[in-house]
Amino acid sequence: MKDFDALKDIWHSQAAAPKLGYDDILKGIRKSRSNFANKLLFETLGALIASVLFILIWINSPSMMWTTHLSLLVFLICCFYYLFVQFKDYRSISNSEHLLKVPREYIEYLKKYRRNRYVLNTSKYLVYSIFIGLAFGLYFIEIYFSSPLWQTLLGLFAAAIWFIMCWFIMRIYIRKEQEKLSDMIEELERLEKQFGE
Amino acid sequence: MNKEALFKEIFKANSKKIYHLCYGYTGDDDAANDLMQETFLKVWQNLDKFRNQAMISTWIYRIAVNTCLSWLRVEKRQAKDELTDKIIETKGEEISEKNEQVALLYKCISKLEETERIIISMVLDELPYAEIAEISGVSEGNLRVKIHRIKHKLTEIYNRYERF
Repeated sequence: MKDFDALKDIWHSQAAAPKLGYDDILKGIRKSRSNFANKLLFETLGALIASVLFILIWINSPSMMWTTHLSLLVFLICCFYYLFVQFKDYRSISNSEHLLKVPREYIEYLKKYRRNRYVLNTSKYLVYSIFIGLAFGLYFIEIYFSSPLWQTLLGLFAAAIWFIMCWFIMRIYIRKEQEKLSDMIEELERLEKQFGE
Repeated sequence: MNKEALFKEIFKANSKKIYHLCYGYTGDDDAANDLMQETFLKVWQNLDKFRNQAMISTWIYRIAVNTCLSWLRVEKRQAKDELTDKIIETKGEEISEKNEQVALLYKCISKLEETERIIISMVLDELPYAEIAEISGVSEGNLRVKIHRIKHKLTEIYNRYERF
């Protein structure tokens, strides 16, 4: 039979030590910083290239119907919105001030963050997809008047397939995310309760 | 003192204790190293805020505790328990009696609730109660009661396992 002091002696006799040294940590810091910057840069560039492409189409097509103008405007707004959301999210992740809060408040933050991510990845993404679909639809109105019918139909068909696929994938994704979110919130509330006792 | 020199000093003074806390929480060496690395990454990011703080270790511990809590988001509790059992079984033959006792102690800690694991790791590392209260955000009076209960629970689990 051992008492708590004996357990304390065992604890202090442990040879278990971190595998990582100070240099490894510094290397990790530099690496994570460049990974973060690269990912952000990659996504920003992607959205910027798309935006420039839409602007070029806009400038270089002199006689446009109002539906095409509206379509390109929706595309551009979608690109900038995507860029804004990604940037805001990365800023939130890299800002570690909330880690200095007491655990209960930190758990509250985690719950809020998870819920926000869920809304972003489900409802907001669905709205985003609908607007992209709408922009495609508007764009094809001009194609219908200026190009052979088969081209319009082909384009419309491709856009419709893409739209239906998004809808189906999103439905599965939303259901899975909802289950995952419920588990996480349940787990976090359990932890919160432990700190509150 | 420049940032890197200050960080080195902080790392040397705290890394072992933070690693023990993470190991106690996860019951897994690799996960403990990952969490410790993440903790010090956050310490680095917040180093300028710490410069004038008297109790820097309190902040580091709090970051470590919160980092451990967020680790639970991706790890399943059951899987973790199985992992701890596996460590004890597979490494059992190659380790000395002393190390076996340490491994058993970690296994017993893994049977506690998450908050209890965090608190007991700090108690075992002999942090003052006032500091543990500050880190965990639990009132000192409440904490004393908790610690008394956790000590009793851990001792009981340990003795139960040791008998077999």
